Amino acid sequence: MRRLSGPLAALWVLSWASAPSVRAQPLATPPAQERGTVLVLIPVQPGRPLFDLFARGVANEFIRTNAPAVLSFEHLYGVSDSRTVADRQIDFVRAKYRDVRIDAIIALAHPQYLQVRERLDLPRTAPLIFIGEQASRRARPPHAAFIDVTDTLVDSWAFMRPLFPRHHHVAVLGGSAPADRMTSRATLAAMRERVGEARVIDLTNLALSEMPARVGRLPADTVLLLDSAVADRTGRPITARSVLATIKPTLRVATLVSNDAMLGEGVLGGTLYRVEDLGTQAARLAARILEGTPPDTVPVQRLAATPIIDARELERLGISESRVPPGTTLLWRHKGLWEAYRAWILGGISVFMLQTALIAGLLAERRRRRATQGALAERLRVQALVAEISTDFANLRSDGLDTRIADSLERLAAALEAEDCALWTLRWGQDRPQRVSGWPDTLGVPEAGSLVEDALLTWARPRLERGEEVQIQDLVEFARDTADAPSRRPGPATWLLLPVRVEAEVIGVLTLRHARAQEWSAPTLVDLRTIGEIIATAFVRKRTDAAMRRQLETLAHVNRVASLGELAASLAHELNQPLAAILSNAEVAQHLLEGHDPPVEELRAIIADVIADDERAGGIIRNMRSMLRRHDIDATPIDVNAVATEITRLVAHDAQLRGGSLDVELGAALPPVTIDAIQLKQVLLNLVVNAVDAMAAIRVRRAVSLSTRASDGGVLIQVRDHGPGIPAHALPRLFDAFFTTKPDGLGVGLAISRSILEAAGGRIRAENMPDGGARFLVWLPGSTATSRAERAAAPATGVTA
Amino acid sequence: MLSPAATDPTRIALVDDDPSIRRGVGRMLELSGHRVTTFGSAEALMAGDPGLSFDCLVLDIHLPGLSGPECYGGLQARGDAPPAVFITAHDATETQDKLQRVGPATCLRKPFRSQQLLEAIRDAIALAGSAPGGATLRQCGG
Repeated sequence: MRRLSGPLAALWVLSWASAPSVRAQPLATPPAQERGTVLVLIPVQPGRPLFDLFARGVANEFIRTNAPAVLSFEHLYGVSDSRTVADRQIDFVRAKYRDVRIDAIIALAHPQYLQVRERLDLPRTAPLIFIGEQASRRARPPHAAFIDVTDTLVDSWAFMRPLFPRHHHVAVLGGSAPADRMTSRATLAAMRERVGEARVIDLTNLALSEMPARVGRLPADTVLLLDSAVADRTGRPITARSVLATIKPTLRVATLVSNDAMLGEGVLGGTLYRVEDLGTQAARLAARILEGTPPDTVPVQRLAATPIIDARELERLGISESRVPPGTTLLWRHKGLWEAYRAWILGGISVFMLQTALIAGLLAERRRRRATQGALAERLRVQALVAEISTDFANLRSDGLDTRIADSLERLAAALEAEDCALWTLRWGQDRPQRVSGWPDTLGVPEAGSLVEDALLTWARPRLERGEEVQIQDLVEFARDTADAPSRRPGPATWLLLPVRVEAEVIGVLTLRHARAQEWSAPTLVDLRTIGEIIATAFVRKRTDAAMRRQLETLAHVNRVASLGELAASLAHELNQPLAAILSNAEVAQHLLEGHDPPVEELRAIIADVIADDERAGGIIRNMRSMLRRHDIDATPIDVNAVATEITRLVAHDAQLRGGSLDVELGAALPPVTIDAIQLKQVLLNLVVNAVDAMAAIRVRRAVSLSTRASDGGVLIQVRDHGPGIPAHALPRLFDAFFTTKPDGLGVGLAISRSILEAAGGRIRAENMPDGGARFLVWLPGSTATSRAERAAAPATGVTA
Repeated sequence: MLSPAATDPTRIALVDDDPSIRRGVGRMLELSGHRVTTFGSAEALMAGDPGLSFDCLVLDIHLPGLSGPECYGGLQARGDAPPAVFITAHDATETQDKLQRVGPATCLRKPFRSQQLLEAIRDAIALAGSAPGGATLRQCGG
């Protein structure tokens, strides 16, 4: 027994929980600076320019200033106005951040984000940084700061007006989602006020499919303002970009937009916001707030737009460059390099200078930044692992679970550079916690008395059951008998214990051991819990499957005994044949030995025959005993034809006895299949005995046929009878347990057959034949085609042959 | 006891689908002084050389294709049926029923002692000689 407590042992404990009030400070080591999460909400999906540019702006600024926070981006609202979709998104995000400390929220443009803290059950005091058009006109909730994107499309039109001296019309094209209508209404109203009702064309409230025609009919002297586009009239999610792509074939007029995300896509330009700048601005404001500035005291910030025009569009529209308002940046001018790229070259120089300044700053803060990057890399690794592990466990058969669980824990340990990574059960019918799987594999090493077991038995357990993480720092090496367990003598270590829930109950603990104290970011802890829960769910499934398998095996055993009982006569016959031959041979030998000069050669031949017949009888008994015994399932690659041949031997005489016969047609070049041989024997026995029974009532008897052939990378087995067929009412329930059409049947044979086959990745199907009788088709996947994809794809066609 | 017959060897046809039985029982009959021809099926016996005639048939009851009793019934129908002894590895009552249909005959259940078969053959031949068709049915396995 190791000595756990005593002068040499010291435990330092700190636990993390979501509520700051229960956070305990470590006693002597400097506290690792905890990083909260800054949640960034963007109304379009990743991959869209708006999302990517804004995210890049925020992220670059956070990295540049090394803000003490972890960034997390979520796409929320915006795709659809469907309540269901929005609710699902909300549920997902809420669950994801349930136990995460949110230090600030950055929200782009969507007005619903003003109530997002309530919707996500986040603390109302979490600062909200909202950035949007005309934000200052909205009611400002408590603990919120606003960035007003002041310049609208109307301002853009006004600024660019010198370009359009003879243009009399202005069209406003926008979506029909509530957010779209709100923006478009403001744009339309402002335009009508400026140029008069008659000259404003309303292209809002259209289906996407209607847009090209309407745009095509616009008078040539129209300026098109491409406004907010979240969803069209039919509710279909759209973006300004998808709208632009749709109308492009019919678009002949000048088009103004409000941000740079679509620049270069066939729009003229306008006074634009660089979306990336919006991100940068939002991140700067977030940083101030994280430093302690109360958001309510920050005045509404206004962001100015930059006039930018695509020179190619000017040319296409026949607008003279001389009309371009001063201060406008012209992009893609087909002139000299300097003219064409001045803006970029100047920009490049300033970027270079900025970078120089940055490098100085970077060097100064390199260590801290490294830590940030390390945390980011760790987060990415863990998230990749979450994806991998959840994919791995989906569709996994229960017999592969053990290996997969161990493998996942090993990969987790590798990803986090942990010395030890394990899954413990808190309780499973027994009181002692148990390390059920882990890396390194400590099978056979007693866990009793270990640090983790001790913690799980005592003080850590209530915390874990409440769902809190627990960290144990084991600073002083235990004094222990090194001869007792030399390989397990750990140095100072720090343990992270994460509770894992399955169906709302904490059933186990994921443990990670590191040599040094680790900083765990809140999102990483969330990801780790997710992994723990995937693994624990698999573990519970394994246990449940094992229990079900035991039940199935009991029934299967009953079924085997029953079917062998039916074959008793056949078995007696099979045994009596070799016994008769042995007896005759033995008597001949005895007689020969009584004479003078016994014929040695003949005696040798006789004894060889006796031995062969004895072996044959023994084989029959072994075969029968294996069927009668409860056995451990041993799925190995086997030859279906060999099993079919054994079944034929068992059943042929029985069939003959009842006036039937069995035709066997064994296919060539069958791939091996992975299944327990006795179970397959049982399946074939059930099918063949059923088929023989089915023919018992028929006067003119034809042979039951058993055939095998290679099919779809596996083996197709057909058992065909010429009996009365399966009654139509029985077909749908044929494979249900305890369903039988036989007066003395148990009704378990086919149910068990199906369970056996499905466990091996196979399928079974029954059908009546047009020319009378019925057939059962069994398909089993070949052992060589072991990929799950193939296994999943093949059966669909495999049993239809 | 196995002892060669003093007189002309009795000609026996042994029909059994099991090669072990053909070898073992055939060997025993030969040793007892009989001349044995073996057949794997009833069809093989019936298709055999018509010039071959047998003093006694030893017929397995369950054969692939024609069964032993069916075969014997056929031989009786064409008036070409020597005395017969039936052997079987089954003990089901069905077997008895089948035998009833071909008239009285001795039936031995495998495994049997050599002496039992030799006596059955001797009795069958003797009874056929004294009272044609008058063999009595003896209990299978008896």
